[in-house]
Amino acid sequence: MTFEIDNIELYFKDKRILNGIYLKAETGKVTSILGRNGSGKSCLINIAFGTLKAKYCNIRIDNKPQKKKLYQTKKATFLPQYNYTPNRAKIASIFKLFKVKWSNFIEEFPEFSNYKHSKFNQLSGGQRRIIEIYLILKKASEIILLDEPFSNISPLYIEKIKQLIAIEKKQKVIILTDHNYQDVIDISDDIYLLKNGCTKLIKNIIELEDYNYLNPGSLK
Amino acid sequence: MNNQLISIFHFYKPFLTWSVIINLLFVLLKTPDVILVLIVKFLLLVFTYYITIETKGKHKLTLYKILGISDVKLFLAVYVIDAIITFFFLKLIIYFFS
Repeated sequence: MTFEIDNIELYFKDKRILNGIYLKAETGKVTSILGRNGSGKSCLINIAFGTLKAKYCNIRIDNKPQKKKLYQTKKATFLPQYNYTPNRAKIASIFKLFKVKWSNFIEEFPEFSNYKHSKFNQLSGGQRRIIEIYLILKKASEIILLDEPFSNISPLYIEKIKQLIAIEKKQKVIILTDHNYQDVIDISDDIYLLKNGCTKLIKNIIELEDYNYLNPGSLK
Repeated sequence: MNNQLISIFHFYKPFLTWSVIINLLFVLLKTPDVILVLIVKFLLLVFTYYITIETKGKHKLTLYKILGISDVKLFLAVYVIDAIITFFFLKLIIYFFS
């Protein structure tokens, strides 16, 4: 499957946020978006999923234009920056809603085995985030959009999440954005830099320094 | 579809208490007219929807979008469920107390 998004124009009042976007993602590849704070990375992911309305937006899946919002097609799932699980919901019931097996989760994260019947507000912020990421990655959908999957996660868990992403990319289109550029570079097959409202496909990671996203020498 | 329905009921749960309070209020005011109650509840739900999408409350709706349910569909489904419960609740009250 190929997922393409282009011709996006997004304004907040008179301020232009996005205007020259082209992004292509494919099954078997992790496509990442890097950019400074406020460059519009989260906006782009939200527009792609359908939770933010742009003035213009053109989404194609396998070259077919999508008229419906992506979430309505049920082809895509989305990890927002914030907690999306209800505070008072039981963890087991949300696993059922997502049709994800708790036993598989415990195999990956055995330290969570006592939490099956707990509520989300009984978990720490990091623990809750790990469950939320896992549910999104394992949910049956063809496109996964991840907004800052590595923030507020300890290094050991980041490695596990990266492994899970590497497994899931074999049958899913994965698009992500995060500020932990080293982790992003590690797992990405394609990287787009978002600057001045436009995307630029990065062919050599040194370009990230050339475009002033990173300080010179950061990649050594 | 089944999962969507379960998640809609999940969203409806906190509304149920308020719905019963409104029903009882109309009963106490001796105006348990089903149509009137449903109109009032519809307006209250529209107001709740507006408050939700204009505040951080809209984050709570993301879960339902992930499950493929749009905001309008979610609130409309909640209204239909509540309207059915309200109808039978008020009919029972009228039956027993008239």
